[in-house]
Amino acid sequence: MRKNARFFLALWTAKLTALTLRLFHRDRPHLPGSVAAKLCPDFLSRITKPATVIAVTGTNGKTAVCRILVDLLTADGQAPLHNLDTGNLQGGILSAFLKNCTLGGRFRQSVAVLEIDERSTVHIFKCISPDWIVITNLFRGSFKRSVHSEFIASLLEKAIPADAKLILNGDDLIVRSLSPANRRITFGIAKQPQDDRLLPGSMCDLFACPRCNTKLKYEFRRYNHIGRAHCPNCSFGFEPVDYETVRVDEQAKTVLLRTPKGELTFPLIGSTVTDHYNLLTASTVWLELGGSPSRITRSLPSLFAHLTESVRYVKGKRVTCLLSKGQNPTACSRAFDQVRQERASKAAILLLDHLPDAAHSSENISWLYDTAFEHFADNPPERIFVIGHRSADIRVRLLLAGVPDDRIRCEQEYADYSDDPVFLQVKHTFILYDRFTKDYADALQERLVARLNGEVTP
Amino acid sequence: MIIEILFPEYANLFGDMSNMRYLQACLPDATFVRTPLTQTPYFANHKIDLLYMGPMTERVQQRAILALMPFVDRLQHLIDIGVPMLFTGNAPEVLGKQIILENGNSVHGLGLLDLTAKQDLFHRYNGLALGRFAPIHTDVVGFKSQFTSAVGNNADCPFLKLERGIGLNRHSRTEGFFKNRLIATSLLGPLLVLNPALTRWLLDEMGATDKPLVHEEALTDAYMRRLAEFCDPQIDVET
Repeated sequence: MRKNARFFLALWTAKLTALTLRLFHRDRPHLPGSVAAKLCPDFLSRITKPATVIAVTGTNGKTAVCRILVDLLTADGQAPLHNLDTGNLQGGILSAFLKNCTLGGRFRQSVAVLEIDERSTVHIFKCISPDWIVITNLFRGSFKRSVHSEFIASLLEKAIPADAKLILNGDDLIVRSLSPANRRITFGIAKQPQDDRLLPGSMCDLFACPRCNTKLKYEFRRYNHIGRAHCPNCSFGFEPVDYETVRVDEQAKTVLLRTPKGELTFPLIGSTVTDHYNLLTASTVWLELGGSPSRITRSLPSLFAHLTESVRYVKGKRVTCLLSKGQNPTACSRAFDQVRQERASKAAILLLDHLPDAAHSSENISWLYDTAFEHFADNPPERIFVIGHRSADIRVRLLLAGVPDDRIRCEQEYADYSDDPVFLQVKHTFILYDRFTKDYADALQERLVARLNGEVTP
Repeated sequence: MIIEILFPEYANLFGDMSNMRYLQACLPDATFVRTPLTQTPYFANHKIDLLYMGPMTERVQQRAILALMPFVDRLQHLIDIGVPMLFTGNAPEVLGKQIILENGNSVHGLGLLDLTAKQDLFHRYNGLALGRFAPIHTDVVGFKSQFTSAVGNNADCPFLKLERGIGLNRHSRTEGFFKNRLIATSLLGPLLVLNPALTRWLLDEMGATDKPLVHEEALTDAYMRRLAEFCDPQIDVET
């Protein structure tokens, strides 16, 4: 679509809006985009796009994968247009474009990396036809929006343009089944020793073959339906991937990656399955874009910032902040499994409130029952602190998961509990936080570190 | 005591399978029969003490209707003789007259409830509900998260008369259906975990009057806090 007078009116008004917000120090990143959309509803279709558009979508990992790609491109001298600070809904995409384009509606950047909310792909892909679409995984997510993976998969099937090249998680058969006619590259992680530790009864979003409804046979299930499975009745099932993490060597601290052009070895950063997948996804995109493997190695130190955990070491003890996105059963289950796998003495602090809901309403807590709190009952922490508005509900969930009540301490208020003696007794304290409780988690980590250092007396 | 769970491999969304996990904790000696979608339901030829079906995807709803249609007379008979049943989330729509799909086509339901559901896959209603369950004169709390709104007649057989939240649709103040001992409700929770008094009633109706509620103190504490929140006129009912 060509730019017209209405487009330029919307563009200049939105830019003026953005300038006004900056002058008055107002943090409303979506507003310029909303203004543009009101004045010119097809604004996104008319604006000239950067030469290469990479869209990243899926239930979990979108932001981390985008951040890694932005870092790699920036370090390589190709700082891309991105929407990491404006949001992944239509307004956020619009605002990112407005922020980066000239008054003539053109871009300096030749590449755009866009994180896109799964539901929004239906509208956004009509306006922006991405060259590459990266799909990280599909799980039952927030009940309010993503609902269940079948719903999101049906939206993506409608949204994906026929000429887009797909980069898909090959260990996720729901993702892998999308848009079979599109050109595709797949990635996955080969079976690793720790893949035999899945708790029995763990949630699975793909139980039966979507073609013939026969129960799938899993060679292994890493978590949820991520793993390798096949249908005993038809040809549906795992197929070899193009990029494969062959081995994660925690002793040697290396990762062996098989690519279509040969094997590569990288230093290992991150210890969670989530981090391994995020790094693999971004590396696949980077290498497919023609990026050099050495850029990945050189950038690894800066990529620590995008890991899901931040660890502080104090006198032989550790305090780890671990992202556990609330209302996201799979993300939280992954984080809880990380706690379970710690064999040393430990304590856990759960900060899982959805604070926007707490401010105006009462959070729908059904998601707690799709989440594997049973991880806390297997090798339980010495103490589990549950802090926030929903502490009573989480206590119920922990009890029903089999955690002894005498290990649970509930506190409604977001106060300082770092003086509890248990933190001096255990080797490892985990602080599991939602994106809305990150500031409190970071502050709590600092106080615990100070206490362990002896800087604060109880 | 025999409890049948229909299609657990599919009808397990939104954490509602924990209705049955909680019941299993309260009734450790009961037999839980998990009937997959491809098998004849146990209730077709056997006596049961409770039948449960939870929420499922919209595609599976249609398969569930097809799977249960041969047994609709048997289901009606079991409802008539007062076998306890619990259908939660969008499971009641399977029991209804029809489901009108997004594309305008419609699918016949089992016709056991006066309920017609209309799908709107781009508009999801999310909210909370608080209502009185008449048999025990107690408030029941729950959540709604659904693509459908419904029309129907539950005026003389509602599960709950609502004080807050919406019922069958935005204009309705009666939620779900309660017929003999069938509870069919769109509420999520899980309902039996969120409402210990309701669970107590259900256990008594099943004949398990001597079985205590597991973790009753913790469940009641959480219920009272939630009830106070739901009663607060300042909070938003629709989220």
